[in-house]
Amino acid sequence: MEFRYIVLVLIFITAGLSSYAQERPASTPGNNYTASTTITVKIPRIANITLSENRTRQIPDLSSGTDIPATENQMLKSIESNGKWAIDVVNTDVEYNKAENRQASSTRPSRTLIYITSQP
Amino acid sequence: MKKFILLPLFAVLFFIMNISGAKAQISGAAGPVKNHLISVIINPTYALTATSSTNAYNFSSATQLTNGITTIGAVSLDYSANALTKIMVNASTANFAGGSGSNPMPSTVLTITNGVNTAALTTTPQAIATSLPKGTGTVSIDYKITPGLTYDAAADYAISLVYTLTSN
Repeated sequence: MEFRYIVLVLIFITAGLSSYAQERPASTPGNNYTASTTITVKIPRIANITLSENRTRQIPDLSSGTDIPATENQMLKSIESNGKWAIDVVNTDVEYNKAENRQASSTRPSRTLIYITSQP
Repeated sequence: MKKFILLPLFAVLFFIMNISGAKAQISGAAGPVKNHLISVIINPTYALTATSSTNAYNFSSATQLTNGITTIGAVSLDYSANALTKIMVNASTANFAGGSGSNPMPSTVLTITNGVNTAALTTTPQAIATSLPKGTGTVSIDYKITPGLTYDAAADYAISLVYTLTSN
């Protein structure tokens, strides 16, 4: 009689273990495990102008243009920019003051004016 | 021959006596005994949070665009897990939103490093931190973004990064 009980207990134990193994979930992530971030970038229209004497002038905004009064022996060497640009080189015997929009002096020696503007 | 018959018989009788004896002992106890099985299920558990949600970069010179801007500790990732883990990173899109549609800025202008592993950002998940121990911890991530002078001026470039904590 006891053998029957033993056999029954063994059957229940086996069935229980089998059920436990089946109900146990697979490798399922339990919680949130991702995180997101955002990167924003602002890039203005900018340019660097290098003259022959390794003088570099930064133009913060080509849309408004800028002028560079080049002194003796200074010549435009290179431009690096992320926008389209145009160059006007004007020989003049006066220095041009763009800020005041007038001739700054008529007594200076001959200079070259480099005027750079952006193009649409 | 009798020995071969009697020995198993004695063994069976001995076993029955032991069972009966044990039963007698249980019957003599104070009350019935019930076994209570406690089952515990521990699922793989992961959690990951980023300490900053947005990083903004405002370039102001050609030198910055060419050489790039580096941010040490741009984001800190706090994790907890009950298994060995690693952190993967990928871009949500191949290109930044914004700027010129005909000349989009790719995600690869952004380089990510934890000081050991370095990855140019793409839409393919890449391991940025590996063999993280069980428990909790923090991983500090550095950003370097180098657009160069190729991409148009714009104030609305944006891209999302996705960090994923996964089993190692």
